[in-house]
Amino acid sequence: MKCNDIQINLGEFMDNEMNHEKSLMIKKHVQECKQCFNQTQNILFLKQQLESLKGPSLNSDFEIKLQERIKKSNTKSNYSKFLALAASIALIAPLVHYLTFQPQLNVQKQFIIELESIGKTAFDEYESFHKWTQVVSSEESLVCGDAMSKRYCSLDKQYLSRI
Amino acid sequence: MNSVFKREVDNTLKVTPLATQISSEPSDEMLISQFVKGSKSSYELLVQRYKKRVFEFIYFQIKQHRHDAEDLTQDVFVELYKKVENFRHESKFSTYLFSIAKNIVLNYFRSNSRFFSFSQLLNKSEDVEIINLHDQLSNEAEQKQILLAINSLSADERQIIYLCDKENFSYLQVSEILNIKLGTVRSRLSTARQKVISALRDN
Repeated sequence: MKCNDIQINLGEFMDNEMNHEKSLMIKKHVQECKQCFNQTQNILFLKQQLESLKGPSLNSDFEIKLQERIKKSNTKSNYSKFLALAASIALIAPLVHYLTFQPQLNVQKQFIIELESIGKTAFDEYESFHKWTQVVSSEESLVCGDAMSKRYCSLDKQYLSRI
Repeated sequence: MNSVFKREVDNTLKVTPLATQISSEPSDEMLISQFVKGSKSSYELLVQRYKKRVFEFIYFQIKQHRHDAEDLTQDVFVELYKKVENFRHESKFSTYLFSIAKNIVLNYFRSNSRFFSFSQLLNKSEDVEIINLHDQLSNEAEQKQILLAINSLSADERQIIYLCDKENFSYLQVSEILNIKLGTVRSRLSTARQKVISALRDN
């Protein structure tokens, strides 16, 4: 191996990150080559210098400041969670309302159209409604648009005009 | 001449005395587990244990801006506090913590446009005689010149040389921290060292 090839691998050799076989080969070369030996010395010197490198001390109030920041971040986090929840509710509530009540409105609109087609105005009386319509399905159930009064309740099944 | 060989280099590594190994200090992993369960004192112990190392890493990465380094160190520990559940015990805690620090430093460079893409250090030809730096540099000037040389490296190179030579992380750990391949660690470290050595030689 030439010195160039050896020197590329010297760092790995010095860091003990090389396989045993290759390491022995480099060791043998370094024993005999002054250039490569000097390079190993330089790497060793660099490593020692870096190991002894020291930064300034941290400020004594580092941990107090850290605790304050964590508190702030917790408050922010709770606030943003609340905001996200409120936004979700604001988006989902109208959708749920629409999906729940729209089918009933459609049925009611259909009743009105049917009644109008046979000369009636609307199903303001439960009795008159049944007089002019019949249930298509055998199953029927009462759905109320207003929970306080059954006046505005209607059957949620398809109706056909008797005529 | 023998002093540089592998066995001798290994001997220079710090060996933890047995008494210290047996000491009752809880491991990082144990502290993290306790912290996940809600123990704030475990978190504080981790901060105590790592604040200086993280601060120095950041300090040397951002070219000795002390105030910024302190703020960024706080960012690292706030991030740890918020995302501790992300630590999956697949790597060492120190690896995880330094990867957070690395990302914080990267964001700092991005937001401040202080990212140095490539250093303009001289790339000496292969035929230049390699002199022994230890003989050339006086003790007083050593640290200052080393700092100047490190500051002239690119951010990527500064990170890798610090993690390998100052923090003594293995190549595998460095590849995990920086999220790069092992081969890249080897080549980037070799380049960074060569640049520092060349800069020291030229001064």
